[in-house]
Amino acid sequence: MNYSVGLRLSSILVVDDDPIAAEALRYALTNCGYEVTVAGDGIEALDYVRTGNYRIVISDVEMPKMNGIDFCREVRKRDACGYTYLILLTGRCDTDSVVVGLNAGADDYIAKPFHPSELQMRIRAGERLLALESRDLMIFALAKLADRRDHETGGHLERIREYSRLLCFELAKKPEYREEIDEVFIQLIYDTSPLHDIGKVGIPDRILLKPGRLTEEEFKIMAEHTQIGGETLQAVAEAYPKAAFLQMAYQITVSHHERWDGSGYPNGLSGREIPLPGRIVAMADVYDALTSQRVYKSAYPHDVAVKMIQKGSGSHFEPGIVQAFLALQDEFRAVKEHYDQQRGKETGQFLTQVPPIVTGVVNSPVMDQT
Amino acid sequence: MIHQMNRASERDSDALNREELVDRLLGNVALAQRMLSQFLDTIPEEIDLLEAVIRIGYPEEIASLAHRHKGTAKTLAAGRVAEVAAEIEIQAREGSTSNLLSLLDELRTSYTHLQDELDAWAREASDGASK
Repeated sequence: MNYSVGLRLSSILVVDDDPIAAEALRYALTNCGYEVTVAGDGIEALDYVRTGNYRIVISDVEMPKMNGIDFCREVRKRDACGYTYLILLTGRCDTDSVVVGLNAGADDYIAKPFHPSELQMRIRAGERLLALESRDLMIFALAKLADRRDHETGGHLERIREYSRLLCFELAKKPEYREEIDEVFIQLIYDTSPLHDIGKVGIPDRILLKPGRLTEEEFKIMAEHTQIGGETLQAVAEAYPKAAFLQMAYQITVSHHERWDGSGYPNGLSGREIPLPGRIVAMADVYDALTSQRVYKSAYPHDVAVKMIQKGSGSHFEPGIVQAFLALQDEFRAVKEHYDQQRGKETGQFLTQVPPIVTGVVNSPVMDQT
Repeated sequence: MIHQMNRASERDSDALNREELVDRLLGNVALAQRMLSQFLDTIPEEIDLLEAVIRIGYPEEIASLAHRHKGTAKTLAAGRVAEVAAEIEIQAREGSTSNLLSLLDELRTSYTHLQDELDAWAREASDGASK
């Protein structure tokens, strides 16, 4: 699947004080189908960048008022509204100059004099990167939309992906996981784990927002969120089989409530029948559910959550993942505290006493109602 | 055809590499000639400015101006101008100013050759159009 389709970036900003070079660039880019705006120096270019209309900028280095290096630094200070892909176009392509430029925030270098076909390829590389950014933002926005119904205080998805990524880093140190968990896997789980509960869009409010334990019938309906999300993503994943992130999103969505001993849902998978991303997100999701306030419960202290997860090793959770979690428990706590601080501790207070539920972790409603 | 080949062999491709320039401008010969002409129109003033800063002895400004000449010349496939401008830039950055005025003369000569090449190209185009 080509994700750059439909994301043709029509406006490129050229920054060059040399009108001849600027005209040559404008001609080449216009012939490639881009709309081109020319700025004569960095100061003028910053005004254009601030409009938000230019995601790709090609800049000379030596210019009056503000040179290309300082311009890159200024742009990077203002990247909040989306990434700007910066290409420096310069006659100086020695290692030192390239390092200075890249260090200032440039994404690529093109040596003067440029050739149009090389220029076009470099711009396409930039478009691919921007397309990925847009894709990731869309994934997260969709997940946020679904999550907002039952986690109005927010932060849940941000924490889930941080926890999942932490677990991956730890698991990747172990020989039995190293083959499956590489950098691509880690980035994919970071990007797609927020989609784990997207199927909750199909669960009625009276169940999703019920302040108390669900009845058996209500629980059956709640459990359908894994299938609703799974079926939706499966249909898309089958249509685009090369899109690895859709495959992983599907696996996570449909399997993050399965349990290591086969007592989970929706398919009662056990052990390594459960896809690894699902086993990892299950851990992240449960820790977050335990330590966060929900409509049906208060937040448990970190230490209590750790004990509950430890007790679930071999029944709810894969023992190897519990080991990784135990090795990372300080990092988990730090992530939780970081997001609590960011949101003014809106997720509520930890309980001060260990609840009786710790002794019956396998059938904990907290574990199931996440 | 033979006539055209002779013409081509007489070209000073060090002064101007037409093929490279036209390739860079995606085959647009008229644009190439217009840009060269536009560039050469600015040269007397640019050279005067460069001479002034050389005589004042302001190496950073000399290097900056020479760098601009070099960049534009490279864009326009004007190899010899680019080479001489590059040498001026290097010497200015190294603080070696004693030879700069003689290099400036070389730069002037290079521009004259470039102008000759452009004129010859324009004549060829005109001859070709009238046949």
